[in-house]
Amino acid sequence: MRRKVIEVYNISKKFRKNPRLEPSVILGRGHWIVAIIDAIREKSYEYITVLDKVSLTAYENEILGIVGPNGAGKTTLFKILSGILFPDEGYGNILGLDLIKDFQKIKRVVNIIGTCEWLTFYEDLSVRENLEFIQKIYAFSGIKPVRSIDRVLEILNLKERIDEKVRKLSSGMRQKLAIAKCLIAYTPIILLDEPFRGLDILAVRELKEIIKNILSKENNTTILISSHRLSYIEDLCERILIMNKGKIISSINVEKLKEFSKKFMIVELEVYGIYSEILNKLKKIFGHSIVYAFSFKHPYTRIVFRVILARREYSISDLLDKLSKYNIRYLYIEVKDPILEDYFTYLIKNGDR
Amino acid sequence: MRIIERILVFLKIDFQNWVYTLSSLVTICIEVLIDNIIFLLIFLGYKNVLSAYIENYTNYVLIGLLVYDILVTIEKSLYGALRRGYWNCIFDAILFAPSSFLPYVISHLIENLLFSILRAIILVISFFLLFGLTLKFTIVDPILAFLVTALSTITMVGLGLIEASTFILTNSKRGSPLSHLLDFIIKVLSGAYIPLQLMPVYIRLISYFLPHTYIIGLYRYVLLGASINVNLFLEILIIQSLALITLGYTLFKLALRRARENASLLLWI
Repeated sequence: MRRKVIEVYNISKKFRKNPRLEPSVILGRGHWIVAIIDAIREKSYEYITVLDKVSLTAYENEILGIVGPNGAGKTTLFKILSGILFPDEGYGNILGLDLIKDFQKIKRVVNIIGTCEWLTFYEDLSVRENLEFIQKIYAFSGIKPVRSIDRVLEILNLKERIDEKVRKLSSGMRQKLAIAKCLIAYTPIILLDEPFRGLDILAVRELKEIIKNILSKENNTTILISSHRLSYIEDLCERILIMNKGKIISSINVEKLKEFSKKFMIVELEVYGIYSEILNKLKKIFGHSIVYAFSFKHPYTRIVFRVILARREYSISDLLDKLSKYNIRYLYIEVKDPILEDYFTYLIKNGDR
Repeated sequence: MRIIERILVFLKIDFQNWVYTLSSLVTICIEVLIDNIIFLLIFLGYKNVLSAYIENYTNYVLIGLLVYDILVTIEKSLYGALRRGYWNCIFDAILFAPSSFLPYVISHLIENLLFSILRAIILVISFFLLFGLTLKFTIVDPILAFLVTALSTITMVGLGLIEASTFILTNSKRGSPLSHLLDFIIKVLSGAYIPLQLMPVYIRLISYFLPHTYIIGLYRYVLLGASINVNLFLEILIIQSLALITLGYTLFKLALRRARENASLLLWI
């Protein structure tokens, strides 16, 4: 039985709904007056629930995926788990350290790579200078470096760029450089928030290899990895949690997916036309079944739709009849087995209904 | 010793960033040029009136400008550090580690003071070259000088804390385009260029509320022996420093609590 490294129960977090206009623009240095008024009026604001009683457990050396649409609360959850943000309610511990009382100690065991971590680099400094700075920041915190800068850049395939200024690197290279933060210093837990954002397929594959082979296997680290696309992380993770509207709505493992595959089939069709028009027509054809746009192809008038249907609900000939009846011009139509992306959509859409 | 080491790391990385250093140097030169122009305009316009009040106007203005510059540096450093740390994502880089942001703030203050000293040197040289400045400073009362320095530091730290707390409490993260204009107005109102006696009465009323007025006045007394009501100036400054540091500390503590609740010092993570 593997050791539990993260245990959180009923974590909730609310943020103020409407941020005020910035009064400094009007008042200049006199905006401290507004600060006092603001402090007095604190309780009269409306709040939005970002996390709603979230509970989760992560085990030693596990790669746990968290998937959800934008605004699901993934980043807020990561901030709480890394000791940057306090929860309003709930409790939990990271390697036995209390989420609130020991938030500074938590930072010693958790490393977080944010959504746009590459923006935290000094653009006018070289890759080496930036990494030296990060190394020192860690050293101050008592986290000793486990790899040299040269070795880290070798792993990331960026060694020849060592003396180049960060501003000259492509966004993909910068994103890879962000991962260097995890490679330089060892922490038992790593939180990767949307690490594949803005990367091409090759870079995604390369990064996945680093996460799987270096961070997970070599470093023996527990990794929590978030993404809004299930396909990015389905082959990386042992378990995947689905989040929507601040809640964890499901935990996926291979067994559940198999059950889903037994019950449902997917009809994939590529169509020419205007998205909203075609979607409406498809919804009329398929009634209560879930229809969603899987991908858009250049110039955005070629759309691949996927329909989640209960098995044997339709025959192909019925489908073709209905498509021609509604005058839908398709490039291809195919019946497929469901993938995690379909399961994810199914859970989200069912939750919305 | 470790805090000094940390401060040095932040100072080093800032000075490595030559774009920032260069832009700061250019700004200093422009500011000194503006100070020289204003001094010249006032001097040419009110030469006769000024000579009736002040023995050596060049020294009088120089003290005013130097003191004001140091005061503003102390006052604005914390807000500046928060603003720069936030927008340049420095907090995103350092707050995830169990490292306090105090070394970063202190490094920012030291950096600003270094630029202030540089600015002071350029100002003195320009006054020497353009207006034939002859430095005639004698410390009249060393104990008073120490007391004024301590009180002015407390007052400015108090004001700085208030200003910095607004960064979080009122979400005033973009700063104010009016800030430079207000700085200039406060500089004039606090008597950096012109003695208070020469200002209209209703404007003088505003000057009496500004701690800068008393600090500049007291330094002029300490260094030039200018005639002021020392006891009154000192009493008002003590009251202002206590009030501002208390208010500043309370607001900043509240702001830090709020920042931790909302992670509002982080831009991207």
